[in-house]
Formats: sequence, C-alpha cells, structure tokens
Amino acid sequence: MTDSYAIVFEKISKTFKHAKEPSVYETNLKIEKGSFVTILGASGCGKTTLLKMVNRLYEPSTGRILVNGEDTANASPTLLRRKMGYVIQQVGLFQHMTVEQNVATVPEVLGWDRQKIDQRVDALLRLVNLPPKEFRKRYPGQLSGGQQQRVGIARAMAADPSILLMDEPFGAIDAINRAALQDEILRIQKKLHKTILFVTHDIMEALKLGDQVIIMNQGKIQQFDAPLAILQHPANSFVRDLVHPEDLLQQMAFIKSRDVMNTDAAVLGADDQTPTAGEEESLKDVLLLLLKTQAEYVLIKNTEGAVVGRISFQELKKVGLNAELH
Amino acid sequence: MNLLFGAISYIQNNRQVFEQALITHLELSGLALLIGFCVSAPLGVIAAKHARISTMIMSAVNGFRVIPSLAILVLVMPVLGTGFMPSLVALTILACPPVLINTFLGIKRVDGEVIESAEGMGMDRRWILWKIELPLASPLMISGVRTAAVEVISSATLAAFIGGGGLGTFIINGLGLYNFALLLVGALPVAILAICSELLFSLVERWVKRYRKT
Repeated sequence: MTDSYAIVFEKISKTFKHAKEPSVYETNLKIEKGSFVTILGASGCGKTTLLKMVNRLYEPSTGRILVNGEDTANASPTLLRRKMGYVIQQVGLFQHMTVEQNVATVPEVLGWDRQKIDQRVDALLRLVNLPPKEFRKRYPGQLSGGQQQRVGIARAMAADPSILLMDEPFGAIDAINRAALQDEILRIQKKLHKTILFVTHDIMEALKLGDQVIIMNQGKIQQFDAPLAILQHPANSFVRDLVHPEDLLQQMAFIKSRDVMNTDAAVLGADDQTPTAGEEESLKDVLLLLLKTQAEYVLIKNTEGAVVGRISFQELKKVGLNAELH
Repeated sequence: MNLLFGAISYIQNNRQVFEQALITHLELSGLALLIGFCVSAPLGVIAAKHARISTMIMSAVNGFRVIPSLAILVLVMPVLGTGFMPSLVALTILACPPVLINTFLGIKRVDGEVIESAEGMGMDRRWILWKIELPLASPLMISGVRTAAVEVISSATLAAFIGGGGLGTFIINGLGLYNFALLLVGALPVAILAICSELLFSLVERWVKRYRKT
C-alpha cells in the first residue's frame, strides 16, 4: 500500500529550539507518486519547514517521514538529498560556475563519467528550453532571472531523481516569466511523471500547478485536496477567505474541460466551423472561446487530437449550480 | 639623472652582490608570503566556521596589525637573534593579518542560500568548502594576498637592519655612506618589485572574478 506513495509524513511535528510554539503541529500526510502537490500559505506558516524536513535540512521533532517506503532517519542526509532534486529561489545557483558546471553538480558528486555527464547536461538544457550551444559556457550572472531558474530546474533534475522539492522557486521572477516557467514545469511534470512538492505563497500559482494543494496556516494543514475541490468545498473560514470561492470566473480557470465535458458519443460530431479546445484547457478559456466564436458548443480533443467530448453552455451552467450550493 | 646612472653602473660593476641581494629579498618575501598564507588561510576558514573562537582570533590579528613592521623586526631579535630566519619570522607575522581577515570575510560573505542549495543537493561539508565556499571567497582572499605582498616586499628592506640581507642592505649602506646612488640600487628594485606584485595579483584577482563580468 505504501508503495504508491512517494512521501509519507507520519505524526511529523517540528519545534525549533527556544520556540514556544511548534512551527509545524503534528501532521499526517501522504503524497502519491507522480503527483504535483503545492503547499500554500503565508510566510511563517510552516510550509518551508514541512518541505525541508523531507530532505532533512531540518530534522523533525517527532514522527517519521518515509520516502519511497524508507524511513529518512535511517539514510545519511547527503545520500538522501542526492536522490531528490532541490530548487530554491534564483540565488541558489553557483555564481562562480558555468551553466554546465552547475547542472553537472550532482552527477559529479555521484562520480559519473565525463561523457555521461556531458550528454545529460545537453539533454537537460534542451528539456528546459535553453539551447546547450548557446548556454553551456555562460555564467549565471549573464542570464536573466527566468533563465537562471531554468538552469536551477535542470540542475535539480540532473541525476534523474523521482522527487523534486521546490521552495518558492518562482518567487523572485516577474509575472510574465513566471507564467512561462509555470507552464514549463507543468509540461516537464507531465512528460517525466516526477513527484513534485512545491512551496508557494501565490494562491493562483498553487491552484494552477497542483494536482493537489496543501493549505497551511499557523503550523497546521487547513485543507489538502484538489484545487477545484478546495474552491467548491473550502474546509473552513480560513480557506474560504483565502481562495474566494464566490469568484466563479476564477473557479473556471481551475476546472479542466475534461472534468465537465459531455462525453455522450451521440452528440459528438464536427464540421470545420466548430471551435475546438484541448482537454487540459480551462473552462474559462472554453467560455471565452464560446463567447468569441458565438458557437453552440466547443469540441474537446485529447492530446492525440481525437474528439473526446464537447462543452456547451449547458455544461457551463452546472459549474454555477455547484458554486451556489454553498 | 646622474644618480640613476650611478646606480646602474654600480649594479653593472657589482653584479653578483646585487643579484645575491635581489634573490635574498625575493626569497624572504616569497617564503614569508607562502608560509603566511598556509597558516592564515586555514585559520581564516576556521574562524569563519566557529563563531566562538572567531572573536578571539580576529582580535588577536587586529592587535598584531597595530604593531609597525620595524617594531616586529626588532621584537623578534632578542628571541631569535639576527640573520635570515628571524627576518623570515617577522615578515611572516606581517603577512598573516590581511590574508586571515580577507579569508574570514570571504567565507562569511558566501550567501547562506547558496550553501543551503548545495546542502540540499547532497554535497558534504568538504565538497561545499572546496567547490563552493573557497572559490567564492577567492577574490577577497587574493586581494588579501595582494595587500600582504606589497607590505612584505617593502618591509623586507628593513630585514637588513637585523642582518637578514636583501635589497635593504644597499639602502642602509647608501644612507650611512651618504651615497644616494647606492641608496637607489636598493630602493628602485624594491619599488619595481612592489608594483609588479601588485599588478600580478590584480591580474590573478581579475581572472578569479571572471564570472562576474556580464
């Protein structure tokens, strides 16, 4: 059973020396393999503490953490960390090393041979959309914030860890580049099925990226659920005040077409005029498409391009209905 | 101009004496710098890593700094006598503070988040020191060596006072004999050496800092 979980927190808590209150109260949590989990909260809520206990940058005061079924307390911290990618805000890059040296850090610690490292660096830079020829020999100081963070992501994935820990990685990046990086990390996650634990204080970021979102406040988990479930059924007043579930348009931005489309085969049929959207696209985009094209419905296609469903105002109305229930 | 020609002709006529003095001078300063670096760089690292002993080491170093170079040379004399060794000891003591202080500052100034990210990637302490902290501290360390080098090269002239030899011998003799050409035989090469070392170490410093250019 534990096999399907990448990270399991068992009765974990953390109280720092000389602190009156715990930074993290007793917490039980199971992170599924291959899931993208965001941890959302204000600064000082314990979200970073929770994250740093996974790779033992902080030691838990009570309880234990299982990573891929094994108790982290039994592993040496350095060996444990080499199996996990770790990304922090952009300053985490080594300024005195070139891009390729930065990316090669963990493989070098692990003692890979030169040729294997070289190939890996090229592959990773391509993965994060930095052409190797152009970027390998540059220093971080010569890159923009967004490019630096791409290098940070490539570096974290160098030894192909199954788990990535990310601590507000896009916090210091301007809005436009942040959106591009968010799309990038989603694309990479979908391609490589990493388990990602992603700390952020940005509500939209947490809801956009996470398959599941952990909302924390004052050292306690307030809610752990899928973004839509959080918007539709906020667990308490704290969550409600935080995510504004009454904002329907915002909700629609986090509902994927796939989840509401009419899949009845009888209604599927297309002519060239019918607008189409991908199944991962948000209802908000579909609504805008409907309004813009004045069409009766939008056909939804899967990644292979086959029509799998359709969305008309009929389906959209249900979203409003669900929200009214509160 | 006559003085300069006088000095040059003195060097031409006493080639061996001059070369011997120059070599001694270089040996004295080079060795003092090398030993000073080997002692104070590790001390600087230790001071940066252990907050408790850092105040002790740093105040001791700052104490030493106040003592003028001639005083140090004279102070070692009763203990170690005269000649090359005591001069070397005195100059080594002189070389230490700038290197130690700059190593300390260089390591201290490495961004905590850089260290955290290195730890987070599974680097152990030794890797972090050699691959991250020392390279990042090296520009400051080298600028410490630069300061020390100029100080040591110029102070090595004073070694002649306690029989350590070197280019200072010509200066003392020149002063004693009221022979300014002879004085220049010592003073000019010392000035040139000091300038050369300054240039050399700035080049090294620039090379170490090459990643900062954008």
